[in-house]
Amino acid sequence: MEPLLRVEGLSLAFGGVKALDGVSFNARAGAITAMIGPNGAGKTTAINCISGAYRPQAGRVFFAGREVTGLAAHRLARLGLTRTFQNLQVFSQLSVLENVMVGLHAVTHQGFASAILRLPAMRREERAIAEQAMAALEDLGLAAVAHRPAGQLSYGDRKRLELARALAARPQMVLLDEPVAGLNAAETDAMGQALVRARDLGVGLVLVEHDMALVMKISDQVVVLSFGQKIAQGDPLQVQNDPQVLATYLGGRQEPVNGFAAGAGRGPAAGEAAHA
Amino acid sequence: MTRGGRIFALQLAALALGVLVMPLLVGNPYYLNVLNVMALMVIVVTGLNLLIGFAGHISLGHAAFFGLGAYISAVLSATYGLDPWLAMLAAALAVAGIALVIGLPTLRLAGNYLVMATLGANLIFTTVLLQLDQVTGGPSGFSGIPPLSLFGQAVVDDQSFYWLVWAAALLGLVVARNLAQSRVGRGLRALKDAPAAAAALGVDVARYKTSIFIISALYAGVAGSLYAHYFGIIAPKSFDIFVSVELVTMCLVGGMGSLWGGFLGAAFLTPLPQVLHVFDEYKDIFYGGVLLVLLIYQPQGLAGLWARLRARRPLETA
Repeated sequence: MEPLLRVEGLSLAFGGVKALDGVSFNARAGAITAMIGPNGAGKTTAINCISGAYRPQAGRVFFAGREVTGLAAHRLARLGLTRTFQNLQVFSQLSVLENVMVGLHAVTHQGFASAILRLPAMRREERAIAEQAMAALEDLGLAAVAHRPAGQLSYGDRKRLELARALAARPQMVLLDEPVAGLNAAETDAMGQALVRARDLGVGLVLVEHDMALVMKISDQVVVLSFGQKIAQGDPLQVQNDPQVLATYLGGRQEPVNGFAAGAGRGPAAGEAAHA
Repeated sequence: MTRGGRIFALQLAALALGVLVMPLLVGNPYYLNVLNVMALMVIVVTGLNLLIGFAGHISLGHAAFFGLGAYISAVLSATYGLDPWLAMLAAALAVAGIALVIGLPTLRLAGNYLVMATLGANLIFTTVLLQLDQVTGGPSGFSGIPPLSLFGQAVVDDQSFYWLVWAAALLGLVVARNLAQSRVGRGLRALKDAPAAAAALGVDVARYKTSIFIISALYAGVAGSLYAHYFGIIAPKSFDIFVSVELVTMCLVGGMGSLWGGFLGAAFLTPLPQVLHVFDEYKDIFYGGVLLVLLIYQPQGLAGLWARLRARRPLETA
């Protein structure tokens, strides 16, 4: 069966730096695909290329059976592909509920004319949008703060809000750029559960994450990048025992290490948290 | 109706009531004239504020859109004998087209290229008005513009134009508010806050920015047509870049991006020069002084005063 997302030979260089060098991988619907790798490996660049923020210099992206290479972000959203951001991109001037209502933009239709004339169809759609957005907030336990300005939320709640906003329109796939960076253990756990719930509903998730414990726990497939190239791909267990991955993470030690997840995962994750 | 909806309805009703009783209070037709100009400014500045508040872009060419509305209306109705209402409609379409041509290339780019583009457009517009004197009348202006007529009656005198222009201003406020409280309004506010996230959720950022720019220019164009048919004579000086700056100043004083900011700014600054006339040659100093004090102590504009007073009340915010 054709995978939901197919990435072929993605390449992008910034000046002399090859951020991405011929990266290919697939991601299925109803599965969590994690992309890991040291800082600067090209993970976020890959997300940016897939999501239409950057145009790759070479390579192609296929989504839901059609080529979408370089397609604008808002068009991808209408096809059912959206994303979250590493540095939070919450609409701070809007209320929490309104943030999620914007999340339904891609699947709703009322335009400028019906807004100006305040047509009944537009008011009906508005009510439906509000209801669906509220349901998405309830799913992530944010209903109580629905009417607060989003800028007033705590960091952890804003992370959850971004996920609620991305999932509100029931997309086919969400690209998540470090969804648990900077979260404490309890918040990370809750976020992991929310991701698994979304996957079980059939959403395909592509996850860039430094928290190895989480990645190994929830992923169905792991793609490892290093210096713009894919060095390994497989289920979490395979990747943990891949000699090249171990070399990349641990600096040349070739033998498998027990508790890779706990050992290697902490370093980058802690470093990332300090940046946030 | 939502709480915000009720508050707006009350505010609008209060303004409408004020508009109704005002003519009873002012006997002098000169004051009526000032109120009419004020309403025209309310329309232009409310439109400009839509652009600033929604897209986060500033236009320094809104006087040109105001002037385009005025001159196209004037030439079509006076020179070519078109019905003033049809001339107004044609002017509006032309303004929308010109706004599209300016907005399409500039609003796709990140950064505030629109300021430069609109400033340039305004300078070009003034030059064209002055040079194309066979059509526009050049520096001495264009006169003999026929008035609009309503129910078979010409809208010539200050009193009848008062009703027309204030009805248009109230309508402009309702349209602005309808836009704000809608899916597209939400998309616009979102793209001002975080454009990348708005795009990722399906908001066509370039198209939305261009659309709101065109709507904003339309407010100015329609006000310009009303202005031309009201005064019957127009001159290039009323539409130069200094007027554009004045319009942005009204936004700033009223409250940038606030729904009522356009109204408050225009209502405060339009009569101010007349009031300051008592200071004679020192009036510019006082005008500048008022602006300075306002912007230092009330940077959110007059609309922000209301929010500040409400915030001061304890237990008000949940």
